Amino acid sequence: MSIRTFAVASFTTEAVADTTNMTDNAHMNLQGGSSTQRTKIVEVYAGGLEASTSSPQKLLLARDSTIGATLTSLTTGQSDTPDDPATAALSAPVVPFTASTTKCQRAKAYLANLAFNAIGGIVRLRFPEGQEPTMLGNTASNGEVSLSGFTGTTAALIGAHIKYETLVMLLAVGLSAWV
Amino acid sequence: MARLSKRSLEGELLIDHRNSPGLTPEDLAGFDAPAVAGGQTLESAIYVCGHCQYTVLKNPDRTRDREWCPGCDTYICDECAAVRRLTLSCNDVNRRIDAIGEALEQGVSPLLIGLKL
Repeated sequence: MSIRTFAVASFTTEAVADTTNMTDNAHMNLQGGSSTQRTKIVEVYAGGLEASTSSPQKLLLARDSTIGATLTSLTTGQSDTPDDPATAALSAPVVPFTASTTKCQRAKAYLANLAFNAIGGIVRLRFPEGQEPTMLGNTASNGEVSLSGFTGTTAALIGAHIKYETLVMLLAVGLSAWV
Repeated sequence: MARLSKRSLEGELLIDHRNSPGLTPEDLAGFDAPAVAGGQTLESAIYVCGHCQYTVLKNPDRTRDREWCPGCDTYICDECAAVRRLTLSCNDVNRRIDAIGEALEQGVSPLLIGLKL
């Protein structure tokens, strides 16, 4: 498949501890589209949009111990689109979301720490090719990854994106048989 | 056949505070990330632990050997290296992913058979 970008133009972060409900529209999540789907996280970017207040951000890319349920569709300023326009749609695509009825909770299974100041700060993390963190399935805690503020984060306006690539399971099966 | 250095497969972390007041170590107390001061930029190589998939920022001043697992031929983090020394086993994440994928395909909950990433 091809790389897709889940981007949110601006949202206000929050400080939330592990295994605690996240607040709607204060996080970015990717949830697997099927029980066997495998997705690699390729890149994470966040840029500060605060105007005047110093706002340390302690963002965590992490697996979720409680996954969101009854997910809200992306809304204004939020998008999920393929990097290459000639991308075939999956029958069960990864579901990006920022709000849900059953709130998601971060597991103590961190994949990356991202720290920057939301006044004019930028952080970008590009994972090594072939070593990207992986989501598998669509259940906790392997099947959902979140980008959210850890305890100590000052609530602030940021914009962010997550680039990811879903692998077709048929390919994975073929490779494992081939190996 | 082309041979690659492991360094050619490194990822990259960029923290740009050129137009920002930046962070102090006190701002990040207890948070495992570099504090980049105002007006500064950090660009650093990273690798992902081959056992737990945690992102490791490579400290250019490190003089100890970088931890490496001969079982899966990947760099691993210090915590996983400590476990490996105790257990003498390779906990390769790719093998776990394959095992979980196979369990899921067979309709078995990975948690029931003790598999997790």
